[in-house]
Amino acid sequence: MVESRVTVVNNLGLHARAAAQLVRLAGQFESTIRIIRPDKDIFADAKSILNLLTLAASIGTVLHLQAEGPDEEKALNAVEELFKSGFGEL
Amino acid sequence: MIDIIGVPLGFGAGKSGSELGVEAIRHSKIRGSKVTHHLEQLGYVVTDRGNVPIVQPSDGYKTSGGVRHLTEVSLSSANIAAVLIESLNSGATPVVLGGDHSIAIGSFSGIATHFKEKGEEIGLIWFDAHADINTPETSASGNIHGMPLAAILGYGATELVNVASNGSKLDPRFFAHIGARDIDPGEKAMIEKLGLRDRFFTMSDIDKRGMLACVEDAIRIAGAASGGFAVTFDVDMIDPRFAPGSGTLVRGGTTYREAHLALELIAESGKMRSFEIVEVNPLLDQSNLTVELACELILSAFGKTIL
Repeated sequence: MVESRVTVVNNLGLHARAAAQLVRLAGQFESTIRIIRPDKDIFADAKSILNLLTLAASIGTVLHLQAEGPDEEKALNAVEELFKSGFGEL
Repeated sequence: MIDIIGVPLGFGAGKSGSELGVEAIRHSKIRGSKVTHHLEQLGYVVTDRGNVPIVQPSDGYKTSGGVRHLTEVSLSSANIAAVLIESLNSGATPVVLGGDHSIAIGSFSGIATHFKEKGEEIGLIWFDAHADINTPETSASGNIHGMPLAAILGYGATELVNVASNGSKLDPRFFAHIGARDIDPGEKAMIEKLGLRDRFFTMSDIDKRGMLACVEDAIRIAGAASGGFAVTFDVDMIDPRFAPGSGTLVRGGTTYREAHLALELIAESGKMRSFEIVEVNPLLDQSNLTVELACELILSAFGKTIL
């Protein structure tokens, strides 16, 4: 399993459109991808939009990413990049 | 395969309490069992997906351009739409538990976007005492639960019209409304302007022709869409004698059996792709009558028959 940490940088946070983008990306990988919100002790499967929306991650929220599976490195990097790019909203 | 999706949003209405309809329907038992169990008995694989996260208003009754809680409803609608799209993509038939009727903006926007991406048309049958076709210009209250039909037809606040994808979601050719008896003057003008009179089966039409003929016509209209149709059911279509637990009651509604008949016919058609029940307000209910009726209506819509 590989792990990293990201901060939500786009103004709208992990809202519906951003979450849909993340689900689409996560779906391209075989690995399980988990997004954890440590301050609320909740986590989401990055392949489920309902799960991701439940995180209610607004701008500035710190999230932990975990990927586990045959393409975990690639999956983690791709998800990290998407967060850093602010889901194309910066 | 059925997905239960809760949408506890009640601030689109003037009276609070419909947000509690979700858990009331989920947890009430009819003949000893919850609605999910009854659906399983009918042969469905049922998954309760939990509730769609709602963006709550933080500062009281905020109005923007004559619309109450516009920002919160539009952000929540985007969430609702996204969850509906995910459910339909998985091949499930969503059962949406409301909530007030403003949630139809998000749910139908999601449904329509899903079918559009598949290259299919989708119809809509709308059960309601009201037309829900107000715009910020015609609405006296500014409550969004009186505006969802206008929004999905492409009229009203941009934030509501452009949920999930831009512009109108509903082709009026595939739309039918059943049970109306309380329509504002601005709404009448809108219905006339859009040429929708023959899409409305009002209580007067039901009195004259009977529920059977009206619902058969509605199924024919909405079922002409290549992808089938969605159903949104406001419990205030039913007469307050049978459904007292709702926020905007109007006398002269359908009977208990007429409501069931309508949904039994819809189930028989085999063309329903999504079912939504809204405006069940447990705070205004009497002996859980309306909540239990809502549970029973869900079952009729999914094929429960008397024999």
